[in-house]
Amino acid sequence: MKKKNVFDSNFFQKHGHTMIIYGFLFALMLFVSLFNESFFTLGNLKNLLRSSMPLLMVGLGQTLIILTGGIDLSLGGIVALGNVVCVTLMDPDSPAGFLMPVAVTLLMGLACGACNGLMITKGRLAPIIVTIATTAVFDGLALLIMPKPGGSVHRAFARAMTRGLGGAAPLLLFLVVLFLIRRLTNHMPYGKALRAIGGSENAAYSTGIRVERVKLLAYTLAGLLCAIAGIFLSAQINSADATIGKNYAMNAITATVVGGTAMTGAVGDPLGTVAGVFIIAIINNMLNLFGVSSFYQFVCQGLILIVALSFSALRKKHS
Amino acid sequence: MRNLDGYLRSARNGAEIIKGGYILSDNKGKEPLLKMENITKRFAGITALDQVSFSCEKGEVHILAGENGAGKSTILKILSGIHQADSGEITWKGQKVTIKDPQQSQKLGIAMVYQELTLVGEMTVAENIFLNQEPTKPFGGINQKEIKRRIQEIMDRYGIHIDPDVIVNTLPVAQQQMAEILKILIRDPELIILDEPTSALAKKEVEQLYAIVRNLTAMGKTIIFISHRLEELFALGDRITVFKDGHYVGTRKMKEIDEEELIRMMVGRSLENIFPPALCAPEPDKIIFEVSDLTDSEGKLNHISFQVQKGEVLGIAGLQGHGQSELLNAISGLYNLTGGKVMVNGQKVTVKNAGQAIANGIALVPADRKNQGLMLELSNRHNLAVSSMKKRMKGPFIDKKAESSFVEDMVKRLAIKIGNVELPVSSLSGGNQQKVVLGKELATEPKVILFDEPTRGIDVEAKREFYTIMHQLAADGVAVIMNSSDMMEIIGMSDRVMVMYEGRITGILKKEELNEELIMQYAMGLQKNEEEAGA
Repeated sequence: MKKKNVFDSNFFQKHGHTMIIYGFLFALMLFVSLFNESFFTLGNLKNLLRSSMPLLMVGLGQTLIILTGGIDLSLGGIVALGNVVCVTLMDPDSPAGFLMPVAVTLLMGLACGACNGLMITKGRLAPIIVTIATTAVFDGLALLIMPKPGGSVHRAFARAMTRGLGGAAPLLLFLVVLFLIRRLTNHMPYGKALRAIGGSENAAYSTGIRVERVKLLAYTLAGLLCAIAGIFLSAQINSADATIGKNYAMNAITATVVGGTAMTGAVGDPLGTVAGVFIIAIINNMLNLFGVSSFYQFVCQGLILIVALSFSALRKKHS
Repeated sequence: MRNLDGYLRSARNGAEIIKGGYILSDNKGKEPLLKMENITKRFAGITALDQVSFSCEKGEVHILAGENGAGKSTILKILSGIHQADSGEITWKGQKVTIKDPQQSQKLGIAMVYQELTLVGEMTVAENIFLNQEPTKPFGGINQKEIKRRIQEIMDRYGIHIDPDVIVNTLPVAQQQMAEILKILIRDPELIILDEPTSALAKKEVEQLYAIVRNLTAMGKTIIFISHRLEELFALGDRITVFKDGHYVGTRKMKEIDEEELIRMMVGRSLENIFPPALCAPEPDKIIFEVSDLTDSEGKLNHISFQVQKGEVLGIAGLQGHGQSELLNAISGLYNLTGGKVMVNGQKVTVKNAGQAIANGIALVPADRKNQGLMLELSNRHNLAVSSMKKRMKGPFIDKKAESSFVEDMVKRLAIKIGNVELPVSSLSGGNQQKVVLGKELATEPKVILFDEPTRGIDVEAKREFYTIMHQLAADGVAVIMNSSDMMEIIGMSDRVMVMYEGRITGILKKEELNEELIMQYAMGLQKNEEEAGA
């Protein structure tokens, strides 16, 4: 048998798009570093990762769902709810006062995701409608729990989350989550089932895949990832804000699509989504650097989404 | 039609025998591998299977035959867990089982290759073959080495070679079909169901498939095989069971039956007198509609040419998927042609899209009325009026009064039984819904009207009314073309029948020579009269 080399057509067929995305990401980084000498410093990179952490988590969750051909607009709501729940329950004075809130928040994330999943699978409702509705519910609950931003977080916990292990803690958390998710989507039967459903739900069903179970798990896992994002945000901003989640759902979709995952499902890679998140973060960073109004950042993100969608439509046409 | 009564009797006897609960079996005392008894299945009020029974011995190739809509695919989908029977019993290896879903069917050792492929196009051949079946390593990761090894093994064993790492979408259909078969084989089932597996295959692959089937039975596997190709049935089958219109007709040993008897079993049926007489005679020298050399890019239509005479109903017959629907869609602007010409009343017209076709006087009553023909949630009034709205305008607004009187006229003309024109069209029975579709098309005042399976799923009385309307249209000088998989309808209604096989016209038959066997022979490509067809 011949040895597999990197330019084997199958390898490129599988990973070509992800490689192009990373190529674009690095080009973007080089471009930014022309204007910002401190871009490639350790401090800045740490900063970039820390500020991108929540979106990375949400983006990975969204990727799972989009691979099934679904979509979840309520992920931002779960992030906000996670932030609020985590901070409200936090006891800043007791040494282990962070354990219970973190556990409760994670469970809450699972529950929110499972709610979405159940309505979509058992209730046979369209994902987009269900999650528009639950967005309102989650946002509303977050506001009920904490009408005004505030609260404070367990000091040691916040420090450990954001700067622990010499600042490597967020990186470690990110790598562990990415490793697990990618293993799930690319190397385990579950991932094949996920993609099969995105490719053709009928085919998946007649192959004997438990379609409902697989989809339910995808939404539930996404909920869990959003809870992690909410906890991380709590540690990062040291308080809670019930409206903090409002841009996450769309940004996560943008990152997923920019990262090469098809909106129609089946095709995509969580690694691509990671690049997508960093591309968005760096472009925002750049706009800040050039002193562009933050309102233009929204416009810009919308445009990025349109461009990415057009590219994926073109790719589909040519294949 | 001369021998039909005889056939009819034998068919009826078959049906009665089985209703009495007797199952034909060659080796009595030996428990069959599979027994399905008195299976009934309805879809939205239409009985697809009526008290049907079927059984299968271990190690045999059992052919399931019958016309389109006989219920073959339905009973096998019940077996594979896609559908669930409304009533009836399934016995598998001597034990009663209920099959709730495909997983359960697979666990029992039953695997099916469906007519429509069930591969995920975006995934590789290997991923598809091992879907939901992936060998794993201790930590749950997929064992790629094991997959490689087993694919190599199974490809060598059956002599099928496809690059396992290639994305399925990029493969030709025949290779996809072979991948689908590999996907079944890797699961090592005891009973393998093949639903028209050769329809997409070229000769070489068909030979390969035959070899696989023989190989499998030699290993003690059991095969159920659906096919329309006669030569195939005789080449492979041990026994054959024939279904007709959702009823069991009979089971025979392949050795003890000849082609003639088989066709007789497949087509014999009661001739209810539901066809009204024609209202005028065709006028052979007045050609009101003509197409020549219609060709598409996918080979579904190969140089189709025909003419419609004034006053005639032209029937299109053939087995499902031989280009009939594509032909009708092409003429009505819904399917792309690469060549050919369409003439209405001697004038060449273009039919690049549906709007053009309608403007040129061509209307289609589509086969799928629920999706293509009607807006189910909207009112009867809206459905009837929508195609001809622009004819009843008052400035920029719709003239409500004119619309009301138009709707009223149409309801009266077609004798549509409507409680209230403002109610949604979904509240009507199938037959009346179909009349609304027709009304909507007639409102455009077509010169050519194409019927695709016009009476599917509607009751006998409504059928009769529909047929009367078709004759009336023909008498009014509209060119009427009807595609139907219902042989009785074809024979009862058509002045001439054009038979299609693999995207070609194999023959155009005159009213005097119409009978089911002859049509079947043309539909299976066993006979051709192309000189006539080309005329």
